[in-house]
Amino acid sequence: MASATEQIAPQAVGRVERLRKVIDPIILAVLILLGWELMIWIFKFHPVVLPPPSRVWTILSTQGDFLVEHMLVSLKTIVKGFTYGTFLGWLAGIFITYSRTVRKAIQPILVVLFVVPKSIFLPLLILWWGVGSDFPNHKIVITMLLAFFPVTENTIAGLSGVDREMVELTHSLGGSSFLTIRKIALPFSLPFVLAGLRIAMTEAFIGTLFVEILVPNKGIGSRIVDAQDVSNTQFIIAAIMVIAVFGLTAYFLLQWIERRLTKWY
Amino acid sequence: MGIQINDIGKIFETDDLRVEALSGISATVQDNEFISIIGPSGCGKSTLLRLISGLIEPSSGTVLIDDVPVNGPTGDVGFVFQAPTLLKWRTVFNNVMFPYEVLASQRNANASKADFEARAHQLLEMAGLEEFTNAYPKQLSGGMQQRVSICRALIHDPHLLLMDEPFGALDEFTRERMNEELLRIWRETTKTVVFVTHHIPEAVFLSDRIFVMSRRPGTILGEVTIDLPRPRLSEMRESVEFLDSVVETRHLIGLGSGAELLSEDPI
Repeated sequence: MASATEQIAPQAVGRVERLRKVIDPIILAVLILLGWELMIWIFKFHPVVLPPPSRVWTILSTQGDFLVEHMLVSLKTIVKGFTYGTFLGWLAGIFITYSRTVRKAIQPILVVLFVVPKSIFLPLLILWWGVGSDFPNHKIVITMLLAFFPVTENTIAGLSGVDREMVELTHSLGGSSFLTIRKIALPFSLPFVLAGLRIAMTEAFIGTLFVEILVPNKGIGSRIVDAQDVSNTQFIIAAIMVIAVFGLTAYFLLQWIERRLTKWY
Repeated sequence: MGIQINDIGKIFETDDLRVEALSGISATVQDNEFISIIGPSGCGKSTLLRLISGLIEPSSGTVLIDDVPVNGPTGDVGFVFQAPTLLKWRTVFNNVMFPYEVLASQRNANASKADFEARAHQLLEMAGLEEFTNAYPKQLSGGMQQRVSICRALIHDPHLLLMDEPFGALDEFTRERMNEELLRIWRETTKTVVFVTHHIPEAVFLSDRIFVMSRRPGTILGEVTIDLPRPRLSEMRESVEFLDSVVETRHLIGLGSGAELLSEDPI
């Protein structure tokens, strides 16, 4: 059991640790870039196979705006799919936990949806709505499907973890089951749900970019396919870097929110 | 608040399991009496508490509180569990205030928030926790957390306090201090207390009477009346009368002097 006195952390050690946490990965990244450049110089790779970092940098500096612009188009789909998918996933988790009827009716369908690769629905969705449709949109649906399950699973795990005593606490005071869910179960499950959101965000990136590459139309995934058609390898690598930066930002944003909301945990 | 338990039985049944937890329990608890229930693990002590609180219904027999049959939770009960069961996303103060929110949500609510807040501060001060008012549970030690949960059980000034092995997880020193604090609080507020434990000296120190229960299905083997004067003081733990009561309780449970050293299955 943590006591009140165990809270004090040595300040000086913390600062060095934090600095090293930033500096170490930067050193490693620089080393990888140097090794990469050196390897091309030694093995004489053709630039189509592996362009040097300098060429990738040229793309980033001259076409960075273009890349970010298309990344933002993708991001819009990612955020929409993530928002709808996780919200529905959360609701499904709540209803599955608390309603026997819903659980029995919905569980088999969800298991099927969970087990099959989400991409198999793509041809059907495109047949229904075409590739150009803004809403409903095949990309959003695939992204939703991928973002849905981590939140459902974690919501169920969180709500099921509520102690019997906590429930008895409200019931012994005459509180309703609805009140117990609202005041006990939902706050209790919050850390689980937030962890689920973080997984769902990476899944949402996978969903949208995957579909953009498979069925090129809009977004940065489609521009990668364009570059592949003309063997513009440095553009592909530059695009991957832009996607990585956005992916990381989204991940850390959610982690930051998670820490802020669960300081008590 | 007087409690009357008439020939209660409780059977838990699931698809493939049938457990008779309690059988033929009858007892009477006087208003403002401090009662301990003692017995081996799994003898249905906790079940009996939940029956009194109205959380569960008996399979046979009735529980009357002030001559009214218990028919579901009344809200006039404070419950303390073995684990502190604090809501860790709430500060100490908001944990103590939790019963207010539950009571205020009900139709016949006439609770005043200001009164409850004043009382919360008063209880936390009494428990020596006023400087932790805005701390989160994880910042407190186990004993402190349990004190918070006792404050929470007292915030709505219930007439009945039900305690399910509240000090079971504490070390001996903390346990003795908490016993004294509990008696002080009880003296200042006068409530009927039903206290479940399997610690004999604790039961003797706290109680007016001890009900001794048998193994499953739980029945009441007998009761021990403790004649020690009140207020109970720490030094009484070493008195002859205290030790006599401990011995009497031990014999009722079936532990002879020294027999527990040989027993394969101690409490």
